Amino acid sequence: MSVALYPTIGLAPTQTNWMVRRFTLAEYHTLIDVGVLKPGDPYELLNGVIKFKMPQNTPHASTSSKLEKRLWKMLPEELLLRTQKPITISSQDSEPEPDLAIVLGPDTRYDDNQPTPRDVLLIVEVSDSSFEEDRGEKLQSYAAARIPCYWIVNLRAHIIEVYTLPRGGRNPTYRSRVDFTAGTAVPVVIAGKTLGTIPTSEILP
Amino acid sequence: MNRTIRSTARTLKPSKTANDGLPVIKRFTVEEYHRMGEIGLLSEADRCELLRGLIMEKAVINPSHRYGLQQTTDLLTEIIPKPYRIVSQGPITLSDSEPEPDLAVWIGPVQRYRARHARASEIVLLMEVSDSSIVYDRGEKLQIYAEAKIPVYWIVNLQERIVEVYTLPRGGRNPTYRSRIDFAAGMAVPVVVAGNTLGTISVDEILP
Repeated sequence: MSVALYPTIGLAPTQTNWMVRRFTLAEYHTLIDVGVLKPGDPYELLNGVIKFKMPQNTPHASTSSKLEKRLWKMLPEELLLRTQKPITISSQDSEPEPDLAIVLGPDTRYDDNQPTPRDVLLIVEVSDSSFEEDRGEKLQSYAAARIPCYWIVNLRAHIIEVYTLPRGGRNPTYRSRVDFTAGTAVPVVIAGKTLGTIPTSEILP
Repeated sequence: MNRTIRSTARTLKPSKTANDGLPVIKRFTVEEYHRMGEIGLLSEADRCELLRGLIMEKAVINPSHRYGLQQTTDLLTEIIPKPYRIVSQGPITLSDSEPEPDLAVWIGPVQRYRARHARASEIVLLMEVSDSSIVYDRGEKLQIYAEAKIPVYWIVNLQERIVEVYTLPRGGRNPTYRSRIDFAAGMAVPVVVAGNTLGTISVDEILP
């Protein structure tokens, strides 16, 4: 009896994903254009599956905004910081909306198209309830898209995990992970240059 | 032989968050699902059905599945008079689902269904031919059909070589059928439509 072939729909979505009809990026955009999905709806496309984004709880929102302020201060003129905005990854039918992303400027660059992985220098996910996905499917997705640097601000463990050296292939991952705990400072490295450091105590609740 | 079954299905009420806190998949309404068909985003080639708001891909039909379905369709056509209609793999429109059961007996006349599919109250019998999908057909599908108060639900169980006949649907929190009767090889399944036994079908003729 093949239970795995027909899992109950109520199970964790990762176990049912392959049974669910997946959407291409173009189909996803059509759904937005015709109004089945409304702009601003809390959804994102991950590997062809339209997923519900968890609403931000208080620590999540607060951490996100603290980090946003500090990153803005460090950014040179030619870079932009975007919050909860889509990044189009056409190679994998994904359009995630990370909490924060540092992308190439100028801001008119994205008048007609969302940033693609080539435009992205750093992605940050503030992670509490979404932790399994941020470390699982999202990490894989960002590594496969060769996003050079990925931070998980881990609100459960009170650390900031910094992933670098993306590797594609069958099991995409980051070859380096450095955890910054309480009392340390995270260097903000963009394209090989250190723009500054952020003490974890200023970010983590 | 007549025994009450325990529901093995989980509650599938549309929910935005799973118990484990993982982000869950966007669920669509029946209207949104129809819209996707109208604009050509979903076509017949997709072989999908809407279950509890999720668009699920259907399994490929293997020869024994097709055989069981074809035999039952032929035999039921001889027994069930007009204005009932036997519809193979046609969609039916329920509150948060639009499944495509292998076979359904719709209340006629057929002109009613020019511009829409049958709704729950217009269906007197449903059948799924079940091979690898048995867990699903006895689980989610059974729950959806019981909740819609489909009076009779057959599962042609190819693995165990029986025909399971479910009756007395019960809604509520854990929808299920209060009666299940299994018919094995050598037995005859009564064809009951709207409370009347119209004839019987032999299990041996259905199973490949």
